[in-house]
Amino acid sequence: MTDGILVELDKVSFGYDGVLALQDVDLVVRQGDFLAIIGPNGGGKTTLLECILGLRKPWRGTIRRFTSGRAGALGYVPQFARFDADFPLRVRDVIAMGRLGPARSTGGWNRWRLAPAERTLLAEISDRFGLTHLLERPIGDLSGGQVQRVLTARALAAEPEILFLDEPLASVDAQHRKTLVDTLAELRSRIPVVVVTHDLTPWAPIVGQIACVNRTLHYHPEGRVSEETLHEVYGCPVELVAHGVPHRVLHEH
Amino acid sequence: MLLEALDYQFMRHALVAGLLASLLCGVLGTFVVVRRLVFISGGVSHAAFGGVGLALWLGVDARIGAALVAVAAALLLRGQGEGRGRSHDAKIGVLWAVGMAVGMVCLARRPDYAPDLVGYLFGDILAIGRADLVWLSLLTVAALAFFGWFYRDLVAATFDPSYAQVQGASVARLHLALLVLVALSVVGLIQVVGIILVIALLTLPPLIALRLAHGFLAVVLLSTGLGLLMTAVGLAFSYRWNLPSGPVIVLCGAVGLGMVELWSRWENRSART
Repeated sequence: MTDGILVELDKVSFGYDGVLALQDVDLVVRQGDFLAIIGPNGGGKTTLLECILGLRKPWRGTIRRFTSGRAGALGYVPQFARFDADFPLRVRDVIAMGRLGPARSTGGWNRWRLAPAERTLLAEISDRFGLTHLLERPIGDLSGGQVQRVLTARALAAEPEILFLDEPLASVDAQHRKTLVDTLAELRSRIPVVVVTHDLTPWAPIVGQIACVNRTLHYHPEGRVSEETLHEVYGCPVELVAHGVPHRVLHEH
Repeated sequence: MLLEALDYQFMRHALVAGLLASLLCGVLGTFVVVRRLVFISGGVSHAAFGGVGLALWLGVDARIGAALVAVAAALLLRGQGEGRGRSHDAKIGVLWAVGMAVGMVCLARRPDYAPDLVGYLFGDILAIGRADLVWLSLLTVAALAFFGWFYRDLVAATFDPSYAQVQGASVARLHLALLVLVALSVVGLIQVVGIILVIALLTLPPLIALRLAHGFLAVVLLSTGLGLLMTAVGLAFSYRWNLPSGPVIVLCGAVGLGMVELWSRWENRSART
């Protein structure tokens, strides 16, 4: 029954200070999926992601992960806005953080120097994200879009089995948006990708499944959402801006 | 004139204490500054004074009392590292004041210890004995071992706790261990510069180093060097002009920070034109 399933949520509820932020959420992520989690601000998108990643323990319900279980198997690109701009780290150091999880299973997690194979991998990933010329720069000197690319590179450095991204296009300029979306589209053939976003537009060409979260979750396996659904989820009329996503009325939930 | 000062054992002890303090502050101070634990460290150091008072009142070694209370304070204040919440912020302030109050009330019950008060508040690096040096050495070794073993985890957990957690680091436990080490170090450093000035020793060298270096390890190493320079120059000045050593050490660091700030501002301006 777990054919191709990597993550399975069963009636998951979670809240803050006694108020439910997520209620009875069911969700399945399968091999080959490209899932977009959309919803209003404060609707529980990031909370849902944090539950799946194991950062928060659900009040009720179960989360099953069918990944290998090694540290770093769950790839994670957090929202970049949380960082201290003055933190004394170079771009190279931040990307190398991605090796922390994998190194845990090979026994070298507390080694200061990376293995030669790891260095090759990091060089290759940095190159793919156009970061090679920035490697020695302090992370605080980078623009928002550049930091976002660094964080994505860091996540891939962990060789994850599934990738979660929280608003990965925030403050990324148009040119790099395309690079990032293309990279993720290509990645999808190898591992499932889950994107938390408030704007479906840039993802429309590649998105496979859509989950609308506003305390409860509505899942759309065909990757299409109707205006009625959005209305229901956001609680007010929203213009469906996603080009290429047909404005099709779906059956009742 | 200055070299002959080294003929005195208390001067040699003071220099060794300065070296150990610099290592401690270089390693832990960097975390204190970048994780914004300065206020917590202040709260812990002042709470420790309550421990000093209690210990003297009960007739136990003051260091033991201070260490126990400091660790208890650290345990109480873990949780949110940056202390964003208002109640957390206030909690630190309460601990800060109550610690001092308890200490002073206890000392008032033992008037024979009154002269020590100044020693605890401002420190006296020249009065450092063998027991203090052993305590400082043990702490330094513990801090260096902790730092060396968990280096990658610590840096990741400090920069991005959620990511470090997903990568398998025990973020909460690392944070607690760091706080306990800071608490114990604060107690160890009380003898060097005193309760009131210990925060300066933890923060000044990393603040200067952060202006000059960009890698985490570089900042740690530079802070250590700067801490050593600060204590050595401070000691020399205090010996030469017969001034209290703790405040002079701190003032040396402050002058250093001022110079670096001015220099970087001047550099920014010339970069713009």
